[in-house]
Amino acid sequence: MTARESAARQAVLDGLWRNNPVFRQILGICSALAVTNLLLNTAVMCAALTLTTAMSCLTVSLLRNWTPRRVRMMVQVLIIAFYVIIIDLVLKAFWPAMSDNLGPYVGLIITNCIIMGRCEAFANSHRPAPSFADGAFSGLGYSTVLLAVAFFRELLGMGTLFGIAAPFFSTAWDKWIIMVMPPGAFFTLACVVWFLRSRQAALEEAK
Amino acid sequence: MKLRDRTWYPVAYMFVVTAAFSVVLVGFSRVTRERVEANRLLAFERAVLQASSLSVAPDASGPELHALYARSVRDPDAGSAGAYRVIENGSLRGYVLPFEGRGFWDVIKGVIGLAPDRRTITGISFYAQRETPGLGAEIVKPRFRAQFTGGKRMAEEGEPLVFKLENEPTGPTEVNAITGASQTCARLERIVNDRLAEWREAMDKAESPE
Repeated sequence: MTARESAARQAVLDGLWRNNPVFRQILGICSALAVTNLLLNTAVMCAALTLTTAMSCLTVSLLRNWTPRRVRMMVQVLIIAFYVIIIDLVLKAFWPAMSDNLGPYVGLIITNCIIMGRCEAFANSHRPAPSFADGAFSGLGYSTVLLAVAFFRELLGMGTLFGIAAPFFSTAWDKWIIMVMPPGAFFTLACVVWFLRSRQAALEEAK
Repeated sequence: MKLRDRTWYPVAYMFVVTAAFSVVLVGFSRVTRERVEANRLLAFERAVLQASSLSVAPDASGPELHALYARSVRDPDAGSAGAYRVIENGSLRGYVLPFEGRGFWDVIKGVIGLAPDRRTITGISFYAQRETPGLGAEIVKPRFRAQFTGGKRMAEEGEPLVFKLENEPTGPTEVNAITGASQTCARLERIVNDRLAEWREAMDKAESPE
């Protein structure tokens, strides 16, 4: 029981903090830069990615005993693409405005290295439940960093949060247009990664 | 010899897995196809209404937009050279001309509205584009589109509209392009102008047959 408990704890800690895909492994940066100028778009993108990662890891793990080693990566891409297409279709059918906002980035989730990384590194050799948790928490680790980036970009660039005018920032604040534009993503992401990594280093030293 | 070690096993496995996932996807896309199709149609109708001089509530629901479209927009006929006619209370309120052409990444599809004088521009709107978010895709934003509602006119001859650099002063037949989106804007200028010039000629010919 304790072994299982510590495995679950490990999945949570690794995904969110110790081995966070974005600020530790620097994976999934393309979408971290592209869809983070509005919190709402970012939240939908994060939900889509977390769902894809968790479900793909689960499926890869379920099939792991039948999948021949030589074709395992083809199977992984197939599984990932399957979930991404489903999400894309759901958005197109039920939330067309969001589908337009995210543009090609939903389809590009297929190429997000976090998913294949988790499938290859973990789901391929572990049981379904831990694989699902590992995928889900990697997705959540990605989400927290993206939402942090989007929070600063939308607040400083537009003075709003989730489209709702924030006090002070929507009135007295001189909006930084650059935060909404692509260069703003580079600066914000770099600052967030810098801050989190130095926190991590400080904590490690304190141990 | 175990099943998994046979040479044909990976091939057969790949076939089975691919077939299984494909069947589910095909089924799912059939289920959602009707809705996706309706959304696409609605996006077009919304664009036509936005480009026309009719006032459209920004938060109008899908059915409201569709009802307004059905009531006041007539499909192109022989006398409109490919443009949709906008009718309100029995009188002509203007034309909406669809255009499409290659943008920077993919085809840009949109509509441009003209008043009954066939020169004054009443609006522009897009219903399909895949330009770079934050750069080329800014053409769909109100900031760019608002330029086309301020009484701009297409020139009597030559290039109907001229796209100038951002922040340069513009005349009645000129609009500002977007900084950072030179490729999208240059292509859009070409697409819109070709279509407008063609339409201007066709309509003027129909007006004065000799």
